[in-house]
Amino acid sequence: MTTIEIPQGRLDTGFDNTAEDCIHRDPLVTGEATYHAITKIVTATPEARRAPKIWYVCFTISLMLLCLLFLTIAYQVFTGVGVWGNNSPVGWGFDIINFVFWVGIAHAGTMISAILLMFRQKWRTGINRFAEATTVFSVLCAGIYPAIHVGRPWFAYWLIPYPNVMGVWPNFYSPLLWDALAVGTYSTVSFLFWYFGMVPDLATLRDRAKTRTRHTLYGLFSLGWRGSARHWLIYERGMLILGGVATALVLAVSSTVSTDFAVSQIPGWHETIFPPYFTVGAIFSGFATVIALAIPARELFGLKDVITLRHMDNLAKLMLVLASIVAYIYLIEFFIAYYSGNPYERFAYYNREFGPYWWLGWAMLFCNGVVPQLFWFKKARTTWWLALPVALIALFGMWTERFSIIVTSIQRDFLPSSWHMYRPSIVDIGMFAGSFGLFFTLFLLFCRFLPMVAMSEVKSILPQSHTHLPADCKAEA
Amino acid sequence: MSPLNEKMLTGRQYWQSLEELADTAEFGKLIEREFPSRASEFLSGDRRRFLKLMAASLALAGLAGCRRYPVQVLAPYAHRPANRDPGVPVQYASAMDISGIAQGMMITSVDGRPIKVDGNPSHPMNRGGSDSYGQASIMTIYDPDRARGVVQRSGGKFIDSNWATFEAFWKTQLDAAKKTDGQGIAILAQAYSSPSVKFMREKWQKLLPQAGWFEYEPISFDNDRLGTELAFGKPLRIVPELHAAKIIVCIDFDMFVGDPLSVKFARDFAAGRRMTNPTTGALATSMNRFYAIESTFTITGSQAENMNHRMAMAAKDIVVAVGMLASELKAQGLSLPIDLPALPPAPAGFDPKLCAAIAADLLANKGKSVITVGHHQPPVVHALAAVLNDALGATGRTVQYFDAPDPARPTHLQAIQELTAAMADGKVKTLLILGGNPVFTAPADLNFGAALAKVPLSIHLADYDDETSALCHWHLPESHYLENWSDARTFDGTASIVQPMIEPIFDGKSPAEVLAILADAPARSGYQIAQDALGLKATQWKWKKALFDGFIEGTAWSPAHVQVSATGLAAALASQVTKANAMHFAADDLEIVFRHDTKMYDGRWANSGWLQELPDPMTRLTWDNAAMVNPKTAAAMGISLYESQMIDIQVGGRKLSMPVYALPGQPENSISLPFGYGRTRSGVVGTGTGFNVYTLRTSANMDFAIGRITATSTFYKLATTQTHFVIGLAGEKAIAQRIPQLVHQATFEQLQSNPSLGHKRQTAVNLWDEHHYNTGYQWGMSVDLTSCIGCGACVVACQAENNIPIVGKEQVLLGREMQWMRIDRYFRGPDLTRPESVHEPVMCMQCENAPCEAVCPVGATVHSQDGLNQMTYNRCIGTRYCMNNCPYKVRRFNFFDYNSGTLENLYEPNLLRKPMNDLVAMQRNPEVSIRVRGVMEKCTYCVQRIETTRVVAERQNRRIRDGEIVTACAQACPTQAIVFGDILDKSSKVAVLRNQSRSYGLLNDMLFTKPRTTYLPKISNPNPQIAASELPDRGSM
Repeated sequence: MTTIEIPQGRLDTGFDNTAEDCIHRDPLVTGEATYHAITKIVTATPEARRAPKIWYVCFTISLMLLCLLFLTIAYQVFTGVGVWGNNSPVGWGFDIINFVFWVGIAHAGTMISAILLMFRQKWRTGINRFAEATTVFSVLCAGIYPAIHVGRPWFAYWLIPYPNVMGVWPNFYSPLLWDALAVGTYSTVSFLFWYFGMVPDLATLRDRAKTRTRHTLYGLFSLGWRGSARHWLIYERGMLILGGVATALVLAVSSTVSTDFAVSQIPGWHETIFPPYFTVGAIFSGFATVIALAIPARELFGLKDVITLRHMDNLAKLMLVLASIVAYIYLIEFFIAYYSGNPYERFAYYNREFGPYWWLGWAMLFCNGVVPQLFWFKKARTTWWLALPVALIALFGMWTERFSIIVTSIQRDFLPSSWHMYRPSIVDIGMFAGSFGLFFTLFLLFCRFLPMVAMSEVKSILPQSHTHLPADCKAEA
Repeated sequence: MSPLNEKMLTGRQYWQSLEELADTAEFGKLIEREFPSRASEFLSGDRRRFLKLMAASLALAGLAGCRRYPVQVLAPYAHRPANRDPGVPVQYASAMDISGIAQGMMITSVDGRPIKVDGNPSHPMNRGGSDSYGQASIMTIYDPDRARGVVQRSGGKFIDSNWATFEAFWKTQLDAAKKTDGQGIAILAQAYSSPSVKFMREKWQKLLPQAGWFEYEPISFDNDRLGTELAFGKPLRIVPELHAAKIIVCIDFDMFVGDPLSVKFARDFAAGRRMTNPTTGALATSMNRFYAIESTFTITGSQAENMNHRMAMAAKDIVVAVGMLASELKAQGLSLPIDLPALPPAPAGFDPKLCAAIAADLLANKGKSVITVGHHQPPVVHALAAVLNDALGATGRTVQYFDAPDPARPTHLQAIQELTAAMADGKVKTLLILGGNPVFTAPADLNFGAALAKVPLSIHLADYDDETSALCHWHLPESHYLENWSDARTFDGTASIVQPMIEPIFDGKSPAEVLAILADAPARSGYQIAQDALGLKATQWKWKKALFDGFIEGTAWSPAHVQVSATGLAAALASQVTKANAMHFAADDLEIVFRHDTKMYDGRWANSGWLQELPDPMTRLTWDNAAMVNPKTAAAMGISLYESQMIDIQVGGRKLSMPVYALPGQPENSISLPFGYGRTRSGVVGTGTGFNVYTLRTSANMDFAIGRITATSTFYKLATTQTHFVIGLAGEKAIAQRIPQLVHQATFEQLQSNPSLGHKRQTAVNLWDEHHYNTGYQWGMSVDLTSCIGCGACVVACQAENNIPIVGKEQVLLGREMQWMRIDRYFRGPDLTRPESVHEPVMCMQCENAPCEAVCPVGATVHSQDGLNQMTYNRCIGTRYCMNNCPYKVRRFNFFDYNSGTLENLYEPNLLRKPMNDLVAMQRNPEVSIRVRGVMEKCTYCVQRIETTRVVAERQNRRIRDGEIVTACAQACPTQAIVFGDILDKSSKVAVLRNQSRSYGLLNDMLFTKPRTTYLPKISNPNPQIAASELPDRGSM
């Protein structure tokens, strides 16, 4: 049990609600678990006159990185893909690594909101809004890359099938087309899911607004929500439909992204295991991101009573499961490479661990397969200074995984005469840093001005919401 | 007030469109006219108002109305000259002279600008083939850095001048010189085969009998001359005829690349190794055998049947090895007219078993064997080889001798020594340098530059304003061989007429024309001089035929009659052997071999971007030269094999720092330094590339020396297109495993017993019905790896034909070279100090199941009906997915806008870049699109040639004949290793070769890509007495 101090003058103490007891479930909201208290906690930050000082510091850094992103993109568009480190044979470098990396991160939000919704995991309510936000913003970061990584970005729209006077359609066999469609759909659905879910909470903010501006803006975005039963009915239905679509997308998007590689014939890319592999890896990195962001957010914005230790514990457990699946897939990949008897296949995997990028190959195995095993221990799951490093290491590990798959495989493919090293250029690195700038700028704005926790949903899991339950069960809902 | 202004002033009316706004009577009329931009309109009546209206409407429409177009003058093509169809390429025969030996060229010219150079199919030297120099020579004519006019240096300043000024100046000089019969005047000339130059030279010498004439070439064939003098008593030109030889023993001679006769050698060599008759499909019944004894691992040495047929030894020791071969021959019963001196013990690298086997083979093939010796081996080795050849009955059969065209001249070395001494003594008052760059190429100890400074008047004729020009008082621009009338003789004396394709772009003149000015001859034009020199009149049928043929029939010399008179040979041999033995290695000493660079030759091609970026056949180095060191030697000296470490090389008192390239197969006690790089004044492209090895080359040691090497702690970046050691052990093992699959190899014996070589065509079971390419034409290519020597002429030819840009050293380092085809070089063998190397040309395989096509999201790469894998540049958006998925990695991406700016500013945004010089664009092939940045490109099987021929055939209502379409690579290939044609036509050469059971598609057994380019295995003919190479076979992978 962590002993972080809770700011005085707010709710009561934190409470260790991580006990696993099937008879008496610990409450999912600690402190003073009333409707009003929840509203107060969640609206505190959007309604505060000033954000915490650290917010300004972070926001300034993020904005600077965002500027770097715009500068590097402008430079690349006006000069050519050559400003990156890509070469022949390594046609895809940081551009696609980072694309897959950000798409992966995007998976946690939908996974939590949609799939956990299906499985009736009530604890998700504390973190879903927050996780969905990471989804929307990281899909945005991911979406930049396919658009600008092409040689002639001004024609990137040719990837999309649209009726045109040229009478030319894209090639429907190409995974890049599937990719464009999958990511496009995913970003639309996840944005809608996030935004519609926020409407009742935006209305709460509107109702509590003390200035004209706030009233107008929140009013505008809350779409005239009045909280009537009819509204709730439509809202619940809509969310259910979106949830259903999103559930399919969680499984489909990374599977589709994986076909960029699986459909090719490069040893190390041409793998039938790739769709589940990419999906699991994506969700894994998504959970790592949620943990890495939830820990400081709890601290900064006083959300410890809503995002409780139990939430952190559950997230860590899920990460552990996913890490174990990822590690299993790694082993399967190596086994199949060996078992196939295909020398090119064998070499691709040998090269991954013993070639020039050996340290990335081992980092991948260590960071994703070994380090998260710490989460077998409850102490690691519930102690922020243990959980945070594990999450960050896993994120780094997932990045090295994408590097290992994408670069290390094509760097040495069939004909040894064409083997060549890949080194990212300064522009590559700048653009990657810049994409973090975009993510954090949006994320910090979200934290500052929007309800970080789905108030209405959290309220629904408070005991007092369940008036139809017998009195003695209320506390356990 | 115009209607427009009225409308605007009322302020009430709004316009919905530009048309509406511009709805004036004038404008309406204008747009009704068919050609609104007709110039007459702009000049008629109310021009001002019309322009105002136009400007206003365009500006209102949001277009920039203020762009000023440059004034351009057009020359109307109102009267079309005879035989000149716009846009239709015309071919002319001409000749290119390198070091006094001409190649017959066929020049393609479009609308008055030459765009491509190829070998003349009927010329005795080329027979259609060409080398990388010939191919790249077209780029030089459009080089913006070429000398742009007469320049006078006075008071340290360079002043632009002109020919008239020079002629006036020279007249005064000549008048003074005539009084002393030319005392104190000297001409230093390159070796010219041109009868015109000879003709003018005679005139000059008649006018000024006292004037000196010196000839210098840094790469000289004087050792051949001296050797034949020793053996036969007169200087001769040695021409091995490899096509007649069954046994070839090559002694330190890089015959197949960088030699003026390479094209001939390569073709003749390949003729004895063609395993399949492309017409009948019949298997060859015999094959020549190639042995090599060499001091540098060259592609010539890599033709040896296997690693046990090649000795790598220090250049100085080769005389001993040849002596041992002679005594072995003698021991086996060959009668020699000379006594052999006692020989020292076998030098390092010598293989007595191999020596005995060579001797036995030579004896068994008397009259069908030949020993060839490299130009940089001392005369006595040439003499001994000549005597052995003669004893083996080679003379007149497998080796020809021609009387040296200039028997009286001193050697090049003597000439330059004598001249420099005279210059330094102040005896030379006026020095005329005709071609060449002696300040750069003269032996370092002569200090030619300093001596030149003592000459009161120096005049330099050269195509570039180079190191020598900078020190001369006058620089005269030399015309390119495609710009002037001249003539030249090839190896056997056959004379060719050099005809101009274009007016001199930079006001240059040919050496003969300049000599005419110098000698104040009445005939000043190259056209007249050539006719006078050749004794032909332009009206004669013979002249016209010569222009058409590219050479004058019947001008070949008759072979010299030779008789061994080797009186001094034994003594000379003994002294050379003693000398070699005396060149003793101290502990840290190594032998340093100076050899020409395969791409720069003597440095003259330094400003040719194509040659700079052409990978060296063995090292795959671009843009640099490096010291080639055996990896074992390097490791022993603590030199890194993984990075290019700089070493200090000390020869005598001279020092040079240079990067190391660890080249397997080098002798362990000898390193090779290619000279020709390190130019300081060669133009934008060449200046500052590589290291100047001439600074170590002294008159005492022109060919090899003993030097000391010390490793430094600095590193250099060498741009290679194929790496070796950095791949590391894991990768090397994989490569060793793969090579047998990538390059099928077998012996001649195996081929005879089993023509399929155990190769089974595997067929894939498909879930769907595949597309059948069984109608129309189906193009295919066959590459014979036995014939391919890896010289790289095809790569340059492809670059010239298909407008392929160069990308510069930095981009090569990043792995972004653009050449559409490459020659993969693999070392193989258990011992990297003594490997074999194989060469495999790789271009787009035009797979029927093309992996690139399926993955392109926009359908920019699709398959044509005739089986070509096509690129639609306009549709390509540059996802690079095709490049990733291509198992052969033959696709090339335009990472930058290589074609619009210069190489220095690649990293500047397009809008800010300085544009490329327009002159460079003149070389471009109008039939091939220039690719913009961001699109993918690759080999198209020269689709422009296919389509051009198809148009011709369809107009004549017939099918395209076999051999009618030749791709640029196939056309250039001196060994005819590449054959292109219709694979459906069973009688076509390509179909015959492709249908050989041993013919294989690269990676096809693994990926079923069904490539249209197939390979014929590399067949070697090892001597059964010599151990087979210990190499894994294909099955063991």
